[in-house]
Amino acid sequence: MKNQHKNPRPPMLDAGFQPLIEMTGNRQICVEGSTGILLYEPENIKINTASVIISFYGRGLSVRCITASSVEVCGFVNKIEFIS
Amino acid sequence: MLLKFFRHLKGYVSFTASGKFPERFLNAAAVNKLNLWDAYPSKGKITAKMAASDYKRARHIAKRAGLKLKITNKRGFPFFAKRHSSRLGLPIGALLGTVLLIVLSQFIWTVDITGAKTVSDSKIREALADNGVYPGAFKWTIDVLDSQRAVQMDIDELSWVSINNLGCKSTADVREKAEKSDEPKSQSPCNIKADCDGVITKIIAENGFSAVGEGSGVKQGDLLVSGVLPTGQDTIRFVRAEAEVYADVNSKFELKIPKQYNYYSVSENKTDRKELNFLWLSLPASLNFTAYPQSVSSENRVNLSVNGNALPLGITTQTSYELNNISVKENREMAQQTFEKAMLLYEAFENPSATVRSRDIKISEDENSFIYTCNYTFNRNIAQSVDFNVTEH
Repeated sequence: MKNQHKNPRPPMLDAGFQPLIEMTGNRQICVEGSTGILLYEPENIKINTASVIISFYGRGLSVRCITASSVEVCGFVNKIEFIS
Repeated sequence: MLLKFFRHLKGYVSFTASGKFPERFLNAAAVNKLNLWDAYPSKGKITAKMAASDYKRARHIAKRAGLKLKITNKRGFPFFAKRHSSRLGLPIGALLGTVLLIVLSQFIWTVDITGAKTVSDSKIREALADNGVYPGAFKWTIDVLDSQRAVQMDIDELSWVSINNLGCKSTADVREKAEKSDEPKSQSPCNIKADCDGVITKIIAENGFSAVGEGSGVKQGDLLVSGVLPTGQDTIRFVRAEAEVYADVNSKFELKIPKQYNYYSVSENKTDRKELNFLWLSLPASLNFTAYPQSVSSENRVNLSVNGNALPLGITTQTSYELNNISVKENREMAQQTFEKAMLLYEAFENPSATVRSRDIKISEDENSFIYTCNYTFNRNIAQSVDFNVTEH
């Protein structure tokens, strides 16, 4: 009962630590909650977040816009991998 | 588009960040709130663009991230201005252009007229110019309401005038007075009287009492059909008489043709003079000093226009035509031809609805002219309605 009172919501639903990913087809992806770019290559972009590393595979990938907490990726995305 | 414009205005640089981990520069730039765009990765380096003012800060950040920045291109207005700073004419020209634009926008460049059907544009333009609306007028001194009223007073045929000054263009929208409709047919009793002397040939009376018969000779003002009808009970009834009364009417047409006369004729010799017009200024654009002792001239103004908008720059071509004084001596045959043409015009326009019964042509001549006289007998309707008042006692 005491633990439930401290953390009332299960971790999976806690949006505060989870990145928010918005995709427009497979051409444009906006990741909110990023903490930095780990790898930046035309075929692979890895974005670090608080809980997981998101890896985008594809071709002609580029970062269209970057701020302290969000990254917008453009290009032709073939695969997304979540590395934890 | 707007973003591109502002970036261009502020100036931006294209650069490459090369080193071991170029993505570290992106992260550092994001944390330090440096705005990067068009960032593309390639082997061991990143190419991107940023505002020129941020570049100095970006170099420190890149240094701390272990990267080396190199500018590949500089774009935008600050770089353009720096590159052309030695050309003093450019900013002076830009300044003069701006001043010219501001000054010229205070004047009316063109005057357009819409809505005129029968009244000529030049007449309206002249009236507008008399009341202060003309190309080159300072637009803040134009009292639109006063000008509208004055133009309407000057041109009697106009019923409504609206002047709209939009930018450097003044548009005068006009409406013409509607033609008066025919007066409604009177219903009061009337008589039919003769409008001239003649001999009656036919009477078509639709209403009224015929006072004359066929073959009767009548004078002007004689009663033809009466509007006073006797009833069978020793009383009278007043009606509106309606009738067509045809009569043979005599008419005389006389024409005096001088044996010798002079007239002016336009010759083939002409002179063109061009003037360059800018607002109210006119500068001669061609040197032509040929002058004729007698001449008539026409003027044609063409304004330069861009996308259908006339500019205050134009060329006026004034063409002078030489007039020749021609002396003509008429002989009897030529005079006869002239008279025959005059007769046709007289019959067609003076008596259009009449039938010609007879023509009696007499020719005489004096010292200076031929005198032609034609005595006509026309057959035409001489009925004229004359209303009368009825007062009961």
